[in-house]
Amino acid sequence: MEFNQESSHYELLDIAPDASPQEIRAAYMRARAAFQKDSLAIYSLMDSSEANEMIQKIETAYQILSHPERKREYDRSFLSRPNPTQAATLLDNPFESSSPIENIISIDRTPPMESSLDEQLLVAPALPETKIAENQIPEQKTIELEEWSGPQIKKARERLEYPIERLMEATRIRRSYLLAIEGEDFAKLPATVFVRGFLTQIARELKLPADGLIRSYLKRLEDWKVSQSSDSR
Amino acid sequence: MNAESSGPENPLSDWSLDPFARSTIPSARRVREIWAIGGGKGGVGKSLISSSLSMALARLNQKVIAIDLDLGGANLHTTLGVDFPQLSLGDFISGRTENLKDCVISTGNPNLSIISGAQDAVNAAQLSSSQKTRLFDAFHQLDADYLIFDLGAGTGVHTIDFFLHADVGIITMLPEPTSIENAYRFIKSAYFRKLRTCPQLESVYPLIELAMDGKNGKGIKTPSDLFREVNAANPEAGLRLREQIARFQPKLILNQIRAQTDVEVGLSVKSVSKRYFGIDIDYIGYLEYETNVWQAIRRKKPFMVEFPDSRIAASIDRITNYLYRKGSAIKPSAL
Repeated sequence: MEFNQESSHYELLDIAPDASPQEIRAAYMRARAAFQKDSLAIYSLMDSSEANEMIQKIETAYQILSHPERKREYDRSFLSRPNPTQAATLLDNPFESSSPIENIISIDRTPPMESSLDEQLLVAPALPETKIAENQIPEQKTIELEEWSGPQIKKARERLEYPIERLMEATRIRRSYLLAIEGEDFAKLPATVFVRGFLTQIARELKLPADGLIRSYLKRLEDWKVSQSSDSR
Repeated sequence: MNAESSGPENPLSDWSLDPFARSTIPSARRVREIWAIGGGKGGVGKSLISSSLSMALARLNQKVIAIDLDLGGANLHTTLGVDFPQLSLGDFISGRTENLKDCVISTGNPNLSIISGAQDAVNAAQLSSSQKTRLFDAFHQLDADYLIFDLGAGTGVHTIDFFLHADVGIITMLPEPTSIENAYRFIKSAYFRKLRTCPQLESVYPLIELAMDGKNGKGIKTPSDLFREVNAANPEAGLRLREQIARFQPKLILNQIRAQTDVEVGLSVKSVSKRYFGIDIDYIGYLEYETNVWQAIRRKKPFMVEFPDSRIAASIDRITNYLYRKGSAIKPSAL
C-alpha cells in the first residue's frame, strides 16, 4: 500500500523481504492478473491509466526482485530505509502488543522514568568515550531551553565525537536522511511521522532531550512547509 | 418513544459517534461473536449464506440466532423454511414489544433460532440513534453464542452500521461487474463511515468528508490520497487513521462460481483492495454453482439439510470452521 510515496517493491507485491523466488513469481503473477486491462477486480475502482501505472510499478518491482544481483542491491538500500517493516507491520498486525506505533512516536509516550533518565544523561552523558568537563554542563543545560535546529543537532553530535557512520548504524537511518536532518534540507525528508521517528532515535542515541528537540525541530519543518505552500501559490 | 431508550443524550456516549461501542457493561454481553453478511447488491446470496452459516455453526453445538436486518425486505425466514412470524424485529423497534426475546422464533433445527426482519420500511427509516443503541444492547443480551446478521442490499447508513458493529464482517460477491461495483461501493461506504465515526480522528473529519465526496477539489480520490492529506494536516491523526484502517478487515465470499477464473477474481479483489484501500481482505472461500442445489433453494428447502454432501455445503462447513476457530483463538476470555 502506498501510504507514503516510497512504497517498497515488497509492499507492492505484498510479500515479505525473505520471500523465495517462487513466492516472488507467484505474487507477481497475482498482482498482474489483478490489475490487467480486463480484470473484473478493478472495475469501477480504477480507470485504465491508473491500472496501467500500477502494472508498470509491478513490472519494475518484479524486474528488480527476480534478478538476484539487482535484488541484493535493492535490499541493501531497502534495509537502511526508515522503518519499512514498522510501517508494514503497523498495517498488518495492529493488535500486536509491542505495537510499532510506540516506536515511531514514542516521544509522546515515553514513560516518565525514561525521560527523566534522559535529562540526567544530558548532564552527565553515559557514553564512556566522551569527556565532558564540569564547566560544560551549564552550557548544555541551556541547550535544552533553546530552539533545536539541524545545525545544533550536528553540533551536539560533534561535541560527543559521535561520527555519523556510527549514528547510521545505531539508528538504522539512511545517511542521506541524517544529513538532511542536520542540514535542514527539508525537501529531502520523508513524511513527518518518519522524521519524528528519526528524531526520537537520534535524541536517544545522542542523549539529547527528546521532547524539546522534536517539538522545536518539527516546528521548523512545519514553518518551512507553510512557506513552501505559500510560495507555490 | 420508549421510556428505556430515553435519558440524557451525551454526545460522547451517543452510539452514532461510535458504532463499535459495545454495551456499557462488558459483562452484560452474553453473545460471544456477531457475524454480519453484507455486500451491496441484492441477489448475491446474502440470506442464503447467512442461513447456511447459521446452520453450520449450530451444528458445532453453538447457540445461534440469525437476525434479519434487511429492514423492509426481510426474507431470511424463507431461506430457513420458516413462515413469517407473529412478532418481528419491527415490533421491537416500534415498541410494540418490550422484549427482543419475544421475537426469537425456533427454526426446528437444534440450537438455531431466528429473529425476522421488519416488514414495513417505515419502521426502518425511523430508526434513531437511541433506538439503535437500544437495539444493540438487546442483541448483546440475547441468549446465544453467535448472532448472524443478514444485512439488506445497498449502502444505507443502518446497513453499514450493522456491518461495522459486527465482530466479523463478511462481504458476499458474485464474479460479475455489477456485483463487484456494488461490493466496492459497500466497502468504500463502510470504510469512510468507520473513519468518520472514530472519535480520535475528529480533527480530520472535514478531510474525511471531502474524501467521501468523490469529486472534491483537493484531488482526494483514493484512501491513500486521504492518508497523505491527513498526514500533512496532522501526523498524529495520520497514525490513528492507519490504526483504524488496519482494524478494518472484512472477509470475502464469492458466490456462484462456475470456473477457475471466477475463483481467481476473489484473489484479485484482495490484491486490488490491499493496494487501493490499504485494507487486508480475508478471502475466506467461494461457493460453486450447483444446479440441483439452486433448485432446492427455489423450493424453499435449506440446502444444508437437503444436500449435506454437496460441494456448497462442504464449503460452508469449511468457512464456518475457519471463522469459528479464528474467533475462539482470539477471544478465549469472552466466555
